[in-house]
Amino acid sequence: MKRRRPPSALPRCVLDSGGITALLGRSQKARAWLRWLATHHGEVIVPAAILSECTTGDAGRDAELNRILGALTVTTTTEPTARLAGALRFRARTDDGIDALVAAEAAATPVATVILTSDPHDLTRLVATTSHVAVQRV
Amino acid sequence: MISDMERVTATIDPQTLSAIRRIAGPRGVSAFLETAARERLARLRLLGLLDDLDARYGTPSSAVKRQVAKQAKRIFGSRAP
Repeated sequence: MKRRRPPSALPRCVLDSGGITALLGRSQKARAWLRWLATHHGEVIVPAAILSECTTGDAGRDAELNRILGALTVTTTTEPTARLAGALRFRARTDDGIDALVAAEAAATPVATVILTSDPHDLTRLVATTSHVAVQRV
Repeated sequence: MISDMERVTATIDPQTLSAIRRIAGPRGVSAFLETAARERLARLRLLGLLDDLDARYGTPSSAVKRQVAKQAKRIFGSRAP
């Protein structure tokens, strides 16, 4: 589906847990996307909430993931963004709070933003009414 | 806050400094330069990670890179070079 989005001075990207694990899972597309963003001065955002889905608390198991997170910016959710997540979740009639937080993090800033995920279905529903956010499978 | 800072001397060409002052104001030069440095360091960290991952798993194919560039252009518009 093609939608017109407002142009942004700098590209912006939000990763969900699937987007992060795609990097661990050797996804060529995930690496190509991040390199495109880095070379175009893009901002890459990792909402802290997604760590609940992809970390284990075991230093050995998390070592590779921690190395990737060390090169990215992990952001905490503000109250307005959490409330926006609630609104998006209610509107889309879904019950996944973490996906809703990822969608809200992308939607909260009114510039063109891409969400990179391994499972675009629910996220696409969550941002269906947000024209400046696109969802890409990696 | 100030006690955590370190004073350094940097050399910047007058044209660039004047452009920074126009945007940041005369008292905002340090903050502007610090933000620019942080962004540059973050970008270098990410590119370093991607170089490591590419060395381990192989560079993404030209077809994948073309596909991503096309999608990026559609999403971010013609401003994305």
